[in-house]
Amino acid sequence: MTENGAYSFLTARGLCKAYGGKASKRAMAVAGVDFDIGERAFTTLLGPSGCGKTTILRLIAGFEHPSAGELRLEGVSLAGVPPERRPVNTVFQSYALFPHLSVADNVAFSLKLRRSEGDIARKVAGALAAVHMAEYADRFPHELSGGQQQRVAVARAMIAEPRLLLLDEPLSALDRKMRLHLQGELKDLQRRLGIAFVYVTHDQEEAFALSDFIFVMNKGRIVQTGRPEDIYARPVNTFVADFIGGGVMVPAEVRQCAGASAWIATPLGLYEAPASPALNAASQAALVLRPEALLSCAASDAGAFAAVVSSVVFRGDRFTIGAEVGDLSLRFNSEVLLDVGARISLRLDPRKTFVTAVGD
Amino acid sequence: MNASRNAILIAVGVFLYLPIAILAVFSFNASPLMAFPLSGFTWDWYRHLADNREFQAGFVTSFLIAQPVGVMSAGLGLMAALALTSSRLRWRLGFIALLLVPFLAPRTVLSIAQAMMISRLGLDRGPVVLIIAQTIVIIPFTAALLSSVLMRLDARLEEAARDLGATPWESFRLVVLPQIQSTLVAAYSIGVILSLGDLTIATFLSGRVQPLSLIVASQFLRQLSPDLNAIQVVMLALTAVIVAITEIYGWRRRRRRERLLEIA
Amino acid sequence: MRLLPTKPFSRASLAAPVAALIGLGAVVPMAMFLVISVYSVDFDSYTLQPNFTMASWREVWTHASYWILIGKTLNNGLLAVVMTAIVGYPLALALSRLPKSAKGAALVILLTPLYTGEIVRVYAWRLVLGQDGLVNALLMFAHVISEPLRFLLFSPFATHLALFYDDLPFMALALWVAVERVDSRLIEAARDLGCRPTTAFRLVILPLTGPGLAAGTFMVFALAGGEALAPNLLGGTTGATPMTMIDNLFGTAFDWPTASALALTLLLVLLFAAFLLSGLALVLSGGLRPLRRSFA
Repeated sequence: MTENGAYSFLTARGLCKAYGGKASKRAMAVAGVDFDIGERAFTTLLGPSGCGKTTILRLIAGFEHPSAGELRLEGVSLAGVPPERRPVNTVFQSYALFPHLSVADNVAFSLKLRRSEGDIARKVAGALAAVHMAEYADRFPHELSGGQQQRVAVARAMIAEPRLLLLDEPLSALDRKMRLHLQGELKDLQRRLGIAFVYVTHDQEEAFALSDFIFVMNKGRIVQTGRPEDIYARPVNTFVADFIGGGVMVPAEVRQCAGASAWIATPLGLYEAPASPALNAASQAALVLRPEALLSCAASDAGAFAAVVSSVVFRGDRFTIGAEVGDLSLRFNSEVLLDVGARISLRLDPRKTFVTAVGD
Repeated sequence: MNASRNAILIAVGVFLYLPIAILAVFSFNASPLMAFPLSGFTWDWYRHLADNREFQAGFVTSFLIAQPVGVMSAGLGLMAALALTSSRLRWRLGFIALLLVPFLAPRTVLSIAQAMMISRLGLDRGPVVLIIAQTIVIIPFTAALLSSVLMRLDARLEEAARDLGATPWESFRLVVLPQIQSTLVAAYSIGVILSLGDLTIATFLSGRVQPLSLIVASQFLRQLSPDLNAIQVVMLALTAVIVAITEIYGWRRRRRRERLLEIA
Repeated sequence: MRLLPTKPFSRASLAAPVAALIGLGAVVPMAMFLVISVYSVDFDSYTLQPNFTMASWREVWTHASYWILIGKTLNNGLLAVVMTAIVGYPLALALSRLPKSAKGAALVILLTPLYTGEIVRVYAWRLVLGQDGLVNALLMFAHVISEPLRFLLFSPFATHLALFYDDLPFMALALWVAVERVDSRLIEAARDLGCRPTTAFRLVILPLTGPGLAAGTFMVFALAGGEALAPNLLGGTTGATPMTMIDNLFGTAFDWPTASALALTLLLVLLFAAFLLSGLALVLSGGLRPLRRSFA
């Protein structure tokens, strides 16, 4: 069963991958991972470098063998099945287009291997048209830009009609504008094709833009899974909160738990805020304070606390203001320019915060 | 900085090519004495070669021996190189040491040992034994050359091929082979050239077969004649032509690939 | 969907045929020296008698003449190492400073002399070093000397020069590869901090290319120590090597056991000396510590 109760297409149980020489010095790239991925979902593995996300992708593709655990595709175990036999295709970070073949030959590669029936040329034309690269059929990879090569790589992977497409940080080598554009194209493509995409990235914004589900990973384990909006609003611990949202973690003492919220004591005051259900009165907790939860106010407003402006950064449509409150460095957005060193008053809206456990 | 660099390179270059150049010069010298001062230009010695049956027979023999040596040393060198670049090779250092044995062992000692073994096994010296023995000492060269190229290939390309449905053999044939084509030709050329130049192994193992190097060596001890000079220069020229063709062929493919890899 | 597991074929198994060929074709024959060295020879019928006698070993290990010859090869090897290292380092540094596009051509130019046949090189040196050869002709032409120099050919000078010529490309290659790996910014940093070029060489380049020097030393020592043709044909009476002796014992004298004992002794001595010398090179260059660190 997947997150939303749908039929699980790709299942992992206890998946482990160890690297290194002597048993005592072995590092676990993947340390016991379980997941269920749905047949039509866009799932993203998100995490910092070294968290194991690329390793999982390679395990699914068949380039690595698990040290322990199993992977099943539609219930059938993938153990011992070589990459060429898996109905899974990969789009590589470095595109990996064959330099000695033209764009059309690159795309036709898997079809020619299978000596498949039907008009290869027509299928190639169709695949290239789907990624808006039809006019480049006779060019060679070195004649194309990064974004164009990536599109060809996608066409090449798609033409074999895989049940699952794996994408290993495919846009990381591109500039921002091209990246945003291709993000849209990929999302569109996935929706049209209706197959499962498993996407790897360290870019939280990209993950949010593309995914139906996100698996947040750290140090070889999946820390949290869920829809992007759920993860953003209710991170399960401070690692996830920090990686996802760029807020400030304010130390919080849990006084009382009440289901989905808790009473906490913080250096900024006492609040009742939405909280992680895993918390109880004894847990080490933190209040995730994102810029949108802080507002400038008058000193006489309820809940106001004093702050000193320490930095002002112009963002185009607004200013990001850094303010010090005692030991804490907070950030909030303001449409008004403030002076560095100015004394201001701030208050926070607890409904836009979240109390989460400290940890990773 | 560049001046001292160029000076060193030119000095060493002159040193390395001086003996060869002198050989060439004397092969055109009009006097049968190989002594300075020079006497004048002539093609005579080369013309003599056209009538020299022994030379022609020796040349053909050497050429025929060199072909299988070139092919086998390139093929076996490729196998060794593929094994070395595989992550699953056990006893890697031992295999490398084994590859170095034919290179580092004194060739005379190795050939005598091989001759002893052949004799004890009741086998004959001759072309087959010669070809195998030459191949063995050339494998370290071809393996080193092909390893250095294989190491630089983008590993992702083979993964992409496998990902798209290619078996390991198809991946090798369709992705790796096209990229190392020119190096394979270079390895074959090296095999041919080193086989043509060998004397020691032929001395002990060629039996009744007379490759050119043996013919030249046996005459060398008797007299230094300009005929021999001309023979040497012909062999040198042939070697130079093979090297040049291989290099140009490889250079053109390398230029194309370098441009491709700059983008990827 | 049929996902049947398959048995993986690893390219590593391609090592087997090559290993078998070299093992059977090179290692076994040389190992056979051990067996044959304890046989004896019936000189009446010229047959080899399977036996067990240490006679040939006693012969080799108690007669100084064999050891003098072995000493000569060690000397050949040592001198070749020293000469190629002294010339090889400036050459390697010069090569590393070439623009990238020229390096490929430089490699070909460096290696092409290796392709010439063994006999060709010897022959050519006769023409260069002989009494009527190039060097003498030039020196006489320039009135530096009035009589041709006799020591150039059929002398140790010729032998060592020929060995130097044959082995320079190998040492230069080993050093070039090592130099290329040294980050040029390290040298720049040293100079920036006030190092003279020779000091920068001693303190930065030498230690960091230590392993390359050790490898080149091993290679050149083995190659030069193993050369028989050039010393023989160019060294005159001084050019005898153990290989010549082994050849005589094997062929003319049909004394296979002694030939085997001598060959085996030579191989072991060469191997031991090569390891010793290259270890020395590694230590003296100061390259041992960086090497240790990279293995830690």
